[in-house]
Amino acid sequence: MRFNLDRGMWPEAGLAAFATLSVAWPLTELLREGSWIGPAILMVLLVGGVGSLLRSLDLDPTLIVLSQAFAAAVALLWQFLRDTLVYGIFPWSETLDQTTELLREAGSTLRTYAAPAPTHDGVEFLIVAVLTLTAISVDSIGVTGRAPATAGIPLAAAFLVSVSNSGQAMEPWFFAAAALGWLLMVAQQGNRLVTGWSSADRRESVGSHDVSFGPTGHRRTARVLAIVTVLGALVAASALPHLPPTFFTEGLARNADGRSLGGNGSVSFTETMDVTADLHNRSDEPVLTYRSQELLQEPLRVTATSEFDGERWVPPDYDPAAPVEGSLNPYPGNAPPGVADSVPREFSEVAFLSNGLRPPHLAVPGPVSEVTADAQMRWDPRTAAVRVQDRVDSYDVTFMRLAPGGADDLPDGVGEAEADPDEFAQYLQASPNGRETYGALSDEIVGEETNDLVVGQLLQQHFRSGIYTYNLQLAPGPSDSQPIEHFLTTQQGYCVQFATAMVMMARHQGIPARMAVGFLPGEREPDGTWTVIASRAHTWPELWVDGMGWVRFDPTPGVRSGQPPAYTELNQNTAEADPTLTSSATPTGEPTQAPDDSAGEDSWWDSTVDALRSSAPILLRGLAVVLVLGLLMALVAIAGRRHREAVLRHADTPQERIEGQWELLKRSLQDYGIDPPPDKSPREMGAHYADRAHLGRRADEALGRATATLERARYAPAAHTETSDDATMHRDVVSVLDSVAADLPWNIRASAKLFPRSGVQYIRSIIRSWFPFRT
Amino acid sequence: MTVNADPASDLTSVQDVASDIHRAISTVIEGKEEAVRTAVTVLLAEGHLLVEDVPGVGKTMLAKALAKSIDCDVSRVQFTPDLLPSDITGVNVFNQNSHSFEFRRGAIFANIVVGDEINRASPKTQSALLECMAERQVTVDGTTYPLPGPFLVMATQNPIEMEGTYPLPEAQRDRFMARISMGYPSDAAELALLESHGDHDPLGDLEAVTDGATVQRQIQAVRRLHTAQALREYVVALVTASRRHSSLRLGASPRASLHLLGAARANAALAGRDHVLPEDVQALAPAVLTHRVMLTGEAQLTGRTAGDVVADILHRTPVPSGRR
Repeated sequence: MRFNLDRGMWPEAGLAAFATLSVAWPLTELLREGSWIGPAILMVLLVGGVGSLLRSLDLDPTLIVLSQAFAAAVALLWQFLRDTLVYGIFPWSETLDQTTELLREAGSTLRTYAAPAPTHDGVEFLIVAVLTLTAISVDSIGVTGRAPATAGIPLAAAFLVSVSNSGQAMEPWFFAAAALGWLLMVAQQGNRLVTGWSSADRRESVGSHDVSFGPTGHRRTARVLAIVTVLGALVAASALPHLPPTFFTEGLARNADGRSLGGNGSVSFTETMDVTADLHNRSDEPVLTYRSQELLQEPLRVTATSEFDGERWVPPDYDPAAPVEGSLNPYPGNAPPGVADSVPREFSEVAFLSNGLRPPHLAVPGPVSEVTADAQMRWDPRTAAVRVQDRVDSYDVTFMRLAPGGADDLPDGVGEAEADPDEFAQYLQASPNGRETYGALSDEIVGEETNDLVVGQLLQQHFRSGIYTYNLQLAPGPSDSQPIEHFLTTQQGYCVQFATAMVMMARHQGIPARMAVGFLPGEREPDGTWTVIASRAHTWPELWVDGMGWVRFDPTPGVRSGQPPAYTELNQNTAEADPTLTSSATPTGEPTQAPDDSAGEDSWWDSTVDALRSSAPILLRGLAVVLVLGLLMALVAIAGRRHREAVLRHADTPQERIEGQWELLKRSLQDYGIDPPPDKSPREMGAHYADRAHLGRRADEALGRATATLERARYAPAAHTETSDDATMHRDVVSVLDSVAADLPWNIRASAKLFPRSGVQYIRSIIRSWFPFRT
Repeated sequence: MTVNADPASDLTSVQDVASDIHRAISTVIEGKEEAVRTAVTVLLAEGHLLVEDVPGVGKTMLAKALAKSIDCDVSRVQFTPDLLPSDITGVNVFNQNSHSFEFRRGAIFANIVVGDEINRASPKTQSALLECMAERQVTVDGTTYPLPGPFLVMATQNPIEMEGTYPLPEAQRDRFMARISMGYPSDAAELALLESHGDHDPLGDLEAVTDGATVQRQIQAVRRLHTAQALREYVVALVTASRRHSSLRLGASPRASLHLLGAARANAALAGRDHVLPEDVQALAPAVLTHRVMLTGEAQLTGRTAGDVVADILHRTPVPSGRR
């Protein structure tokens, strides 16, 4: 056992550690605290260090892997379970219990929380353990096993876990770092291979083909391959549809309301009053399904809040009335507070078939006339929310549609009288944060108008007039500390910003206002039911208008918006002239439909665009298929080269190198369709090739020389083989291959390059070694 | 006897001497290059040669010509049914004058022994000869007498089905390194034979071209020839294949391996090479192996010959590459 520092492959081990850490980088997005990073780095470095040390001692690879695993296990126990070790050394039953406990804790955290999840001890333990395992596999495959390309498999697996659970698109540099780590490993192997080659004898280039056989050729291929792979990955990532992450069946990203511990509902805004996380939720699991006679325009309201702390909305305090069993009528006589008796009402029924909301919440379109459910229900008048004791799977709701005929149905003098400042004190607290900005803007919008309804209409119209952009990503800036000011300046945001700004502007104008949360009506399924998923969460302002009570407005433009009641629209002409309004009137959340053919000469263009748009997925899928095929072919080509050069790669002595060159010739010629000779003497094999390949005079001589060199290497005393024979042999092999290739039709040449038999053979042999069937 | 230290010059002299012998024999026997070459190979490989063919095709002539081309002790024994073992080995005779027994050497005490029609002698006499061949020494009445080097027995025999013969047992055939057949000469060769033998005896004109000491030195040089591991594996593979061949009742013995490798060495030396190639083995395998193997009854019935089977073994056995 001799110590040889170079054999330890320290640079490779360092790169393997770097690659492992780079695939772990996205985890920083998944976890709130970075307390796992230190231990993880320590473990990864430990694995690499132990591996290199043992490799320096030239131990058996299996022994190296086992030692790495042992050292890692010891270090892991020492870091996380030191207290349970007997004499601080030996693990005991308590250690096992504690480990189970940690893992259970990790499991429950991952099931419960949306990313970023808090880094409890259990999560930290799990993450560090998984990364340690990844480090061991990457180090043993890529460094000890000298197959850095294959080490990409554990790297990719770890990377997948990291990125697929964030629930949103990750930034490209995470991918770039992981790819860089892996490519560096592969490149370092190439580098070692090249520097390991004898540099004693220089050789002349023989023809253009020759170059690709040398190390330069390898490097160029590798470079091209790397670029193609990275580009391919980027294209594939952008072309493939985003699917809901299913890596952990009940993992981080699926569980949007996981912020509240212990819950198993599917939205989080019911507790936080902030729909942001739910809007980003990619899950397509339905939260609600319902059946309705007509197209619902009302959102499904859950609750409302009046308190804004300057940066975000604060969940309300509930003070519900006594529970009612079976049927709840919140407004006796169907007279919601503040609504004049003369306002006409229309009633609609909705049957909820399934309900994923956690109790005590219930989503109902409003104003509610009656809720029927096999449960105890309580009415909370302040938030106008229905509260239930236990989860209600199905329930029926009858609700009122006030003034269905629009402005004509409104009683005279609606909105004229001012609200009582004492009664509505909490709904009139305009946040001082940014009040100069939104106050000045609202004054400008409202002008001299004093009617509360018209003020609301003006404000709503301002937001929907097209100068604001709907975007789930806020513009960069202090969106957290100065939410309203930042939104009004950048004019970019989503329902939360629109609703908050309108509530504050209304309060500034002396109109009581509150913030309601709930869902948009959702999508219609083929069977006629409606499905609401988590990302259909919505929030809107409600303004107190004398004579109409709490009136729903919807200032959010664009696709994820509800349709406000007809009477809140300023007037029909304005609405029609404003494209944003028409588009926003689609309650399903679908993008605006293209104008139909009656639009005139633009129609051919539109139909072309439509055709393109509809065929785009097919094109992208085709592109993806082409890419996958290309990658497969590249795989076969690489495997082929590996197989052809397998003997050469493991050659140490000049004799072995000559055998390697011969094997390269044999396998390359097989790729060209010339069957290898049976194991015969070199002369007989030479004659076999001379018979089958059409060689020119020079190549024929080269074949003769190569045969003689092989014969000498095999049978003559070792002294007869000189180091220069290797180079001569290589030249002769290249010369023969060139000559054979020159005579072949292009398709055979191309298939030999792109889909070589040797590659198929190699892959087959690998698969066979995995599954040793006995035939 | 001096041993030349330089293998290259050894090889050159091996080639020179061998071609001299070859040329000398060719003046007597025409058109039998292959047989002559095998004979010289066997001489250099320290083996013994069995020449088998019908009478009158020049078996004895070949043996005599080879013996005469080398300036050394040559004896010739005509084997007959009444030949006694002591005629071969020698006998202790009582000397009346000295009142003691003295050893009178038999025909075996020579560098080259030509045994004519060996299968006409009784098995007992054959055995006496074959023991001497293998052990290169003679033991009579408890005293052992070493035989001189070089020592080559060239025996001729008629095919076993000829009348009045005692076929050589397998164990004894195995002691011959190689067996060759002369075969009938071509028309042209036979015509030339008639001409040359018309007025004089060409054998009488044959001059020795080398001597026993030189040949012995060259035998030493041949022994030192390099054989690669892969090649030794090949020899073993061939011999093992003969033991497993479905057409053979008896395969070749380990002695056959030794003989095959030795013969291949000599063949390589004759080609001026200092190492042995599979081709050397292949060239000698028919001569070395065919007389040792026994065909099964079925194979005989289907008309296969031992030569066919050996050719089949050569064709089928892979040549090891020596790569690990």
